[in-house]
Amino acid sequence: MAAYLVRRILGAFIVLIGISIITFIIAYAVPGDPVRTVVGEKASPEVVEQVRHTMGLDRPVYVQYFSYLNRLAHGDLGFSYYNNQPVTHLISERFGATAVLALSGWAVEIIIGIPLGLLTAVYNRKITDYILSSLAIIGISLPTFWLGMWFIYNISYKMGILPIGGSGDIKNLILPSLTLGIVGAAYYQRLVKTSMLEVFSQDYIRTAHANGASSLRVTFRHGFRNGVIPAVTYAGMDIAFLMGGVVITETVFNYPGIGQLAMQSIQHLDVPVIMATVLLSAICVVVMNFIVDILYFLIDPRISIS
Amino acid sequence: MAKKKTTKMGMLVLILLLILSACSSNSTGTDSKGTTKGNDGEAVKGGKINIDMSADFSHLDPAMCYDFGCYEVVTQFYNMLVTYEPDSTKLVGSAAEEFNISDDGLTYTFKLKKGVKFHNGTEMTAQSFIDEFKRILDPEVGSPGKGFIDPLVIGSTDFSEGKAKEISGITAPDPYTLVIKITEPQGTFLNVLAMPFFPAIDKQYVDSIGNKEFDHKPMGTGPWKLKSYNTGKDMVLEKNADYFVAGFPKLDEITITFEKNAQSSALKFKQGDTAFIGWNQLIGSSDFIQFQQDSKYKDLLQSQTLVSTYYLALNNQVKPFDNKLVRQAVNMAIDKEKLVKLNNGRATATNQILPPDMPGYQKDLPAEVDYKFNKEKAKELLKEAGFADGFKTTMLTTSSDQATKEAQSIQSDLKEIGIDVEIRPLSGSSYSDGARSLKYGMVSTAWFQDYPDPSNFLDVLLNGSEVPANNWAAYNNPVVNDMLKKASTLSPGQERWAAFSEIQLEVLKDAPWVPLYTPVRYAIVQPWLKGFYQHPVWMDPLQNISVTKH
Repeated sequence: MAAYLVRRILGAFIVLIGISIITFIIAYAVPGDPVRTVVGEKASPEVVEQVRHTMGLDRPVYVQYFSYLNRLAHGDLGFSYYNNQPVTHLISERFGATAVLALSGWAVEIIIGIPLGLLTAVYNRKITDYILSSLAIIGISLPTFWLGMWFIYNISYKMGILPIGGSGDIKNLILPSLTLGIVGAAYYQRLVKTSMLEVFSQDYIRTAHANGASSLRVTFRHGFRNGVIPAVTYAGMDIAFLMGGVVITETVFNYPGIGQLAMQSIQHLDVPVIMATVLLSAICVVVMNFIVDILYFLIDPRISIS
Repeated sequence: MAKKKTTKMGMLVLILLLILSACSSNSTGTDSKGTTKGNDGEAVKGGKINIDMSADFSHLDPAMCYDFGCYEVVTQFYNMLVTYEPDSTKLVGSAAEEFNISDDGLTYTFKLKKGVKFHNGTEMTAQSFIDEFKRILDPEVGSPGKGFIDPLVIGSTDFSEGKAKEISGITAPDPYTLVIKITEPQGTFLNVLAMPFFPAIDKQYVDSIGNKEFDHKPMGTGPWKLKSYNTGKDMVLEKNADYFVAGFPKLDEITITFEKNAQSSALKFKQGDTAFIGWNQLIGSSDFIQFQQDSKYKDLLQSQTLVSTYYLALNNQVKPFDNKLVRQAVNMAIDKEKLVKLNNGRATATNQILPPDMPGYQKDLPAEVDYKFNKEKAKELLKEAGFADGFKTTMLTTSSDQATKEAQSIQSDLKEIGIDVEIRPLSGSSYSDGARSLKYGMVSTAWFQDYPDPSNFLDVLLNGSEVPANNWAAYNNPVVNDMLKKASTLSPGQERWAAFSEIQLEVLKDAPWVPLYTPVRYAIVQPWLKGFYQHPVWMDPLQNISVTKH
């Protein structure tokens, strides 16, 4: 177990270093001048060069990268070029908001998606299946921005029962979570349905039925535990993805999370913030991957941790 | 079999219950109406309003703020020596009680108002301004305002280069007198001093928190104090009860929400949650049409022609745009009225560099430089230039939807005279870097005034010395450069305006640009908001507005 953990942590470290190098190179390769983000478009070339020097951006790119790594090792993510705030402050301010939105959206996806998947599997090729599967296809096809604006216009503006975007209150969370959840639930429905149908065709399910076990018992006790495994893998990656920021949902609902920050940093070539948001997303993926592997082990006795 | 069906039905009920329980959490959140109404109520009772801002502020440090976004609030926290009268371009004293310019135009003397306090209670003196001038010149601060005073102010370069500890040309004979000496007469120097780069600052406060912190913890002498600031989320401005202008600001508090979604901003306005949409947030195309057509909102719209020009900078140094006939042909080939339509009518087509509200603008241009839309004539000029079969070129534009639509319209117009344009959209600093690289045939761009003087267009955008910094047409005409140098020393007045009119005509003969249109900004203002106007130079007049019972 200890060797496994060490191997995973070492692997994660190498992945993160690799991602940081690639991101750093991409940020430098794209056209544009980050100094303009600091001094504005109208500043004179003399001021631009002066600030470039002060910020150390006139040094070779590898020197800048090692200087970045050195600071990172000391827990210093630097200052945002765009608004001069410490990057750690910007990230910590927004990560909480994104985590809350991601978890609530994820919960809606699961609460809607998994039962729908079960239902459509149990009623496969029956009218319930056709109706619910069609709804799922509609859900999967809905553009997030459209659904978000539809909610804002009808629920917030027309009915006036929830605020138009923003954050800080549970009421601000409902519509973005539903938007994320409805679009995402359809994936879970399809995944669980396919997986459950496969499980239902297995010998041990037939045996369970032959032994007189009730359908409810067969479905939940014998089928669901095996049928839900692909959904667990997907759920792990899904939450990692959501934690990294949901750009469109955050933009439509003016929800100040990591997605908005990432978008803004790319627009302004705000390299320290770009690096931080990318690394944060990568850490989320690495950590969730690890958790999913452990969950696999717990759910499926055939899988060994070694 | 029957048992199996019953069990399945039971499961169906169970799952539906699960779904319903998930949905029931929605219903529990539906009583937010009270909160929304509560916000409205607050705005009336407490003299508080809410407004949206399209993006967070890039800077709050006056030395660093150089865009319209941060101008919106930096001018609320700080006072410059002089400012513009409400709804006018006339300069009047702000922190200065009175000011005087010597006959030779080289010495500016300001008598400051006494008893003006910073938000922390410290008294403002002439040194408070000197400290800000020093910050502007300090390489460590990296202020984009440096070029406005260095080398113009005597001793500025020596100070900036670390050769002197003081700026020899800026002195304070007594705590309430500030004297600034410049190297040569400069007709726009007062306008420069009215820019948000140059207010009074409390050096002790800045030193205590450092330049980086000062960029998001502003503290000045202005009508509004910063109450709270959540980066990327909102900012609350609180009335400075000790503000030196009696009766201002009129409101107690303004909450600014950073709202990137313009459609949501329009809905919030319709709900009565926000007080106005002005400089702070653009009214989106569909919302603008809706406001115009709805009798409930039509009369709430206010318009202001901006002192700005949208134009195509033609690269005067590369083929085929180094040929004047080609440039003139392009000028005549573009249907500018189509661009006005693409702006929902929020623009006026123009053939001039200077916008209508800028001194020097000519109501009627002489026919030889008034390049009216005429496709046939354009084709003839192209043929005469030796490009009867047209040519291929590139056009750099920003990547916004609006810019892309306009670029496509221009592309289709030029196609009709045989010019094949490849549109290259870029965003942010990639775009401006691309423009400065001078590698594109055309650059679609715009200029908004820094201050109401024609030199801010003609000198900044078309002087050969500004290639490629701001002169993206790479236009360099020694005659024009000389004329600009002479005109810059003239004091504001008819002689100066006539000189710049003449320069504009000289430039137009060469057709280095295609002037496209002058934008018209529409604001929409709640009927219960009083004192709102669209200032020709400044942003929204936050200190002047008040609310009535509604």
